[in-house]
Order: sequence, then C-alpha cells, then structure tokens
Amino acid sequence: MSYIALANITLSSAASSVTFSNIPTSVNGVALRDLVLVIDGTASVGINVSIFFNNDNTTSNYPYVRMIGNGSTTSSDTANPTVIGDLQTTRGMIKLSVMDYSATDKHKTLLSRFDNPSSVLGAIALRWANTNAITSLRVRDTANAATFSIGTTFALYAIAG
Amino acid sequence: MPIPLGILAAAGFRPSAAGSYDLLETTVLTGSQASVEFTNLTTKYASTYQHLQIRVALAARADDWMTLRFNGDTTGGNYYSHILRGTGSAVNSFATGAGSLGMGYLMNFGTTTSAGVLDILDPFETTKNKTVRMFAGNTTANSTGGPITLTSGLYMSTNSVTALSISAFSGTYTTGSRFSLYGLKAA
Repeated sequence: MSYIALANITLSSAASSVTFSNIPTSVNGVALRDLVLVIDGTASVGINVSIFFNNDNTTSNYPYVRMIGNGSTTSSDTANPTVIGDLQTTRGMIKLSVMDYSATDKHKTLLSRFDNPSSVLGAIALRWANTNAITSLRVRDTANAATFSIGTTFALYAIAG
Repeated sequence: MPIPLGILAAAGFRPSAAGSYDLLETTVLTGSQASVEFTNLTTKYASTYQHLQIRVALAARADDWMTLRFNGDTTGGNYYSHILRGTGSAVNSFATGAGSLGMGYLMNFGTTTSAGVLDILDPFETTKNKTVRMFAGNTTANSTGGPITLTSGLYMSTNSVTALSISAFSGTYTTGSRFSLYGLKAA
C-alpha cells in the first residue's frame, strides 16, 4: 500500500481557506515521502491559489516558476511566489506533489499542474525554503479576498518512499 | 477551516486499492554519486507490473540535465526526446537525442532543490518501443535552463527493460537525493 489517502473534504459551505494539520510522516510503520493534493472545483471569482506550510506566511520563502497557455499565447514568470495554480468560477483542478515533505535535510520542491478548460492550463515549480518536515498546509486565495465554492473538493494523499 | 488529520484518521481513512501502486525500490544518496541504477527489472517485476514510475527529489547540485539510459544501450541514435519548458521569462520547445548517455533533457536541476516524476509505459512489452514522459521542476529561473519542463522520450527498442541508469551530462547527484521506483499493475 504505497499511495495512501490521508484526508478528503467536500465543502458544504464556502470557505476562505482549507488547512490540513497533523500530517503524519509514517502510517502503520510505512515511511511517507511525498504528498499529493488534488483540488477540484471553483471559486467565488477567478483566483490564484496560494499554499503555506507550517504556518510560514512569509511569501519570499516560496519562490516559484510558472508556465501557462491560454489557448492563444504562452508565458512563463516568477512573479507570484506561493501560487500553486488558479481556480475560476467554472470548474477546474489543481494537482500538486510535494516531494520529500518529511525530509529534514533539504528545502521542499513542489510540482503543480493546473487546468481550467475555460481559460488556462499550466505548470508550476515551487520551493519552500525551509528544511523542516511539513506538518501542516493551508491553501487560500492569494489575494485573501475570495472563497472556495460549495462542492469544491480537497483530497490529500501520501506516497511511501 | 482546519481539518485535523487525527480526527479524520480516527474516522477511518480510505487506503488505495491494495497493491495497485507499489513502492519497489528507493535509493537515498549518502554521498555524491554520478549515477543511480535500477537493475534486474524484468526478472523482478515483469510478471507483476505493467508500468513503472520513478519519483526523484534532488538535493541542490550544479545546474545540468538528467539523462536516462535503457539496458546499458549507449547508441545515441536509439533515443529521442522533446521538451516543452518554461524558463521564468519565456516558453519554448526543442527536440534532441542524447548520445551515449541515453535519453537526454528529461529534467533540469537548476542550482537549488529540484524534483520530477517520470512515467515509463509498458517497459516489459516486447512488441513496442518504449515511451516515457516526465514532469519536472526547480525554482532557478534561467534562460538556457528549464525550471519547468514537460518532456516526452522514446527508446527505439522492443526489448524488455532490464536496467535503467539515471545520470547527467556532467557532475554528480549530491547527498540526500532520493530516487524511488514504483510499479503499477494492470487492471
């Protein structure tokens, strides 16, 4: 059993953020290496989605590189640290892997793919510049103004390694 | 809205279907190393698994590109790859072989930590050439590098994959770098 479902939630009301805490580093004696978070749904308005680990809200600790296509043009930027993708008012998804989240000897690299069929798709690499093991994560609107909509799902998995 | 995992776990978390996606081997480097090998793959895994996946989480090292060699094959003409990359300022694409090191440009390291997920489809099938794809990234924006890459690769051989050698065009992987091999079963 190497791909383990840790937690799953479907919003029954709009939420400004979602937090997963007490993330384990092993389950039933199996050491866990990577986290996978899948977000499927919508937001109250089109938003960038940010991630924060272990209550670290310092945006400069989350450098990123993004590549996107919108159906007519492509672009790449480093302008929005903490961002893992976007959600629109029409359904889209974000799937990300946090590699070696339980390691204490390296910064954490995150790979994200996001897809909004009505607007944009893209890929992001993000680094949390901290060697601590990840014990919690929080996702919210980057601008901290909009909400995740009713019915949006957040599924957290861990991969043994 | 905080969702303490302890509460959800007590409520009964749902494990994946047992044995469909299995960790097969993990190598975590305890010193610098030029390459990582996975060997005897057909013997060990062909009867059970249809696809393979390699997940890598690398400690910081010198900027370079990952290469992948199948079955010790050093014939450059047997390998092809296409890369779509975001540099931090532009998106572009290129195609290449790799020479004796095998399939090249699968992943760029930058100068910070980096990571990637490599899918190898039907590696033990003897009626098909071998195809791979990789999604990888680092946060070192570089006009000639590839902080964000989507790569597809082709190995022109119908032989069952017995060995995989992960190296780079130059330099070594550093202490703490992890390479994990997973198997995916057929339905």
